[in-house]
Amino acid sequence: MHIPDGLIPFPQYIIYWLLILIPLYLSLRWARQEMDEMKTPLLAVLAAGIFAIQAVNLPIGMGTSGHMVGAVLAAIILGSPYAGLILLTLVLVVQAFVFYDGGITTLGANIFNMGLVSCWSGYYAYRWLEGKLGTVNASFVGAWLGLVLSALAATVQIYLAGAFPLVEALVVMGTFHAVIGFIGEGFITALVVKFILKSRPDIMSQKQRKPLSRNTLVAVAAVIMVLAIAAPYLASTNPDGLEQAMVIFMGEEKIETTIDTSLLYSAPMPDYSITRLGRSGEVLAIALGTILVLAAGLLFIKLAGKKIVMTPGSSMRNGDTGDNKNISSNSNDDANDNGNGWVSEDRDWGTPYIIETRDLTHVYRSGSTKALSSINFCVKPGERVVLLGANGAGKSTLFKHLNGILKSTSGQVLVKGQPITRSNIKDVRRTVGVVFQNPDDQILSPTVAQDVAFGPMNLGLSPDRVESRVKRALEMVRLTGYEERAPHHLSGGEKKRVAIAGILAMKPEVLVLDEPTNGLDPGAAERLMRLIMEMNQKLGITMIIATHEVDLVPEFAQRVCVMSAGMITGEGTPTEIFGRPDLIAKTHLRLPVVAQLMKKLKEAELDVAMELTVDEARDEIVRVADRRG
Amino acid sequence: MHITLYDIERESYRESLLHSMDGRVKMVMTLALIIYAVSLPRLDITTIERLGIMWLYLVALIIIARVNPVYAAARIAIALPFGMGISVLQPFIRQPFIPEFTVLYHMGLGITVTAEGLLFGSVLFAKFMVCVTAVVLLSSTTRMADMVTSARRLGMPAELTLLFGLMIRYLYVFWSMLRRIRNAQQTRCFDIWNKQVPRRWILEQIGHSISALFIRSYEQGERTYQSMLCRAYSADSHVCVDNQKIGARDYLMFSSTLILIGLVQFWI
Repeated sequence: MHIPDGLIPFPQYIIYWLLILIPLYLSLRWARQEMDEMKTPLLAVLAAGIFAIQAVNLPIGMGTSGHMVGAVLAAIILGSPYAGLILLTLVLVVQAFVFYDGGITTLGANIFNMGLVSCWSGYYAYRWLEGKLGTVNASFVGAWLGLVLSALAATVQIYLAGAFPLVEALVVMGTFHAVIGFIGEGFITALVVKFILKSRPDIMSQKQRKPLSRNTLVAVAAVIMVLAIAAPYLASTNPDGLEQAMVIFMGEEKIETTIDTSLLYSAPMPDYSITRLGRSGEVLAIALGTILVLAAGLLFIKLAGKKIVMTPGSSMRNGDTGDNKNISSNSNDDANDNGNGWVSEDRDWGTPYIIETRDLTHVYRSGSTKALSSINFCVKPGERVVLLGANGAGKSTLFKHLNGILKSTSGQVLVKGQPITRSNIKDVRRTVGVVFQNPDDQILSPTVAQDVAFGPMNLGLSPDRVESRVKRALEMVRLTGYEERAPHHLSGGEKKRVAIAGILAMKPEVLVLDEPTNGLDPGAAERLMRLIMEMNQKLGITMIIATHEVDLVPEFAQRVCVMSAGMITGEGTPTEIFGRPDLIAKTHLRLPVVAQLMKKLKEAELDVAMELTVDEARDEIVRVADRRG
Repeated sequence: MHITLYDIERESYRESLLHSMDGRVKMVMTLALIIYAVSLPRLDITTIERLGIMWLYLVALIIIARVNPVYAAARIAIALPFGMGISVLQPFIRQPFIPEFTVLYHMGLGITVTAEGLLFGSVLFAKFMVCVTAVVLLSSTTRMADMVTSARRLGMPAELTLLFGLMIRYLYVFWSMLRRIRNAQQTRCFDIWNKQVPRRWILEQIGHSISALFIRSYEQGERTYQSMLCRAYSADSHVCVDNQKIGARDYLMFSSTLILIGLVQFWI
């Protein structure tokens, strides 16, 4: 339940803000230290998803809310009430500042009742009941209880604000939310948990959260005591805005005044006294209260921004901030962007290959079949290699191994002759840039420039160099002038180019593109392929492309690897590969259109060679026509 | 009028004096107005007068910003039930903090309208109107990405900036996804109020839509995280926000708001 601005008197909303800062700090610390695998970005994306969930839930809502479903779900699935608190905080802040769903000054109170009360009670009720009722039923009760207690907490807040009598409000709000939450929160949450158990059981947290520590219990008890003492005081006194704030904070003398309400209505009014400090006192109180909140906020910022030592196995598992000497990386000198200096001249790697996989095998956690089976795949510097295969052949899985996003079940990946390890992962990712199939997976910032800057910033470059890299990368993909554009305003082809620019800004020596032309119109696809060719020919960037569009292959590839069912089933030049009809048929592909034409001509008893590109076919047909006279 | 995320965005992309102002100034200005409004006494007729002047000032800014008036009115109207619901009940309630009540009307069944409740409800409503209008002005003249950047410039932790930036980015992705799901449902005549199908089935379908969205957002989160790792993301990653100087025009607008608050406070 959202409490709007203006309802809670000044001293009370400050108290809620102060109360919520500690759990928020603890949540951020939890996100950094304890979340394994998915890390904090997942929370932000989930929070965005919860907006959509809210919109779906709204028509049946009638008092219940989608973001409560989402927050308790996130707490249950990610295994901590902190996850729910972060999620709801993100949702509520955006709701308040953009949609005005709730309030700004009352955000602290809203986060308190919806984030803290709901997620904690919902999550611990779920954990307690899980063994007794089963996962689905326990999630039903947890989400329902979370909503009811949150509504009761909001009711107490409104009572303390003076707007409603306590007992009647508790009965009405409690009953209403108990009924509505049965369907809205309980039933829907249970359905979602059931769905997840069927379709993605691996994402349900298996971790048993430790019971609350003694310190936490003491802190909770202290908060309850403070509230218990403050509540009757705030409720029984006359909490009239700033006057009350001054009485509480400054202990100022009360001034008796009479309020003239005759302008509002003509009925005779008795004189009654309220505490009043005068106008200068009010201004002083605003300033003091605001300073108090700002000071607490600054303390929070300082604490939240403090570097926290990472625990082994946490978010640093795939990252590395240390210096790395294992892989000779390309020069960071931006002056070299235009010329051959892009790619490192030092090739003393002890192997002719820039990328090499040895018996690489991968089995996904959620499946039993091998996504990759003993793959031996090598690429020389400057080469243009195409991985050809139908959907599900394992191309994308292989790509995710090439820069260490996925860890192999067995086998090795070598980049510049060095196996990928924790200590060299950052250099590996700088050397091998992967462009994902769906640019929406990759473009993660609200503007194009910010997104392209994401990689260079992570490499720790200075702002000037980041700026020059962004400028250069956008020039290269011909998107100069798009810096401040929002990604969702771009066409599919433009998004693809932004995704490539985001990788180019890191100056990779190898560019791995997963289905680059997927979903593009022929014109955009041709421009993109021309761009890729240019980058290979002018800058010497090694190109590895996965595709099932066979017509692209002859123009682009120097070498083709055919993949099927997680294995490499053929390798050679385009002419060699397309000269093997059995291989093409087995992998559910077809010949390029030009090759099909040549095949038809051959079947019509014309003595033509099997050409693959339009130019070659034209020359061949002209040659045969000339010979015929 | 049905307001969507895209309407808010369209307005925020307009060009005007207010649109071109620094986001930090607009955010602080909005917060100052809201904090002042909610801090005014709750049982004082002058509060309504002060808030009335502030509301007119905000309306004038909305006009200067060339925000579509129908859109602005619709946005205020959409938010109204939140505060209105609480405000309209106040004349009928005996507020715990008011010692004495003057009964204006007897409605029967023991329900009365009190003068104090009416004043309290009116002040609540006036405060609410000023706060809503201030936020409508802010979100209609500031792009969401600029708000995040401005918050970062104002000192929000880098970690939160990244989270908010990501959230805003994917808000549009999921909004489109939701639209596609709804289109697909409508194509096959799905209607939650359809009385020809069992209620439980409808609820299950809604549950499935939410499940699909939840899993899609989770998987999107996984993919996004992987793509971030590709770009060397780690716990020490920064968010790229350049420093920008606040111009004289921004200072002028901010000062005029503070002067208005001062005038309203001391002259009324």
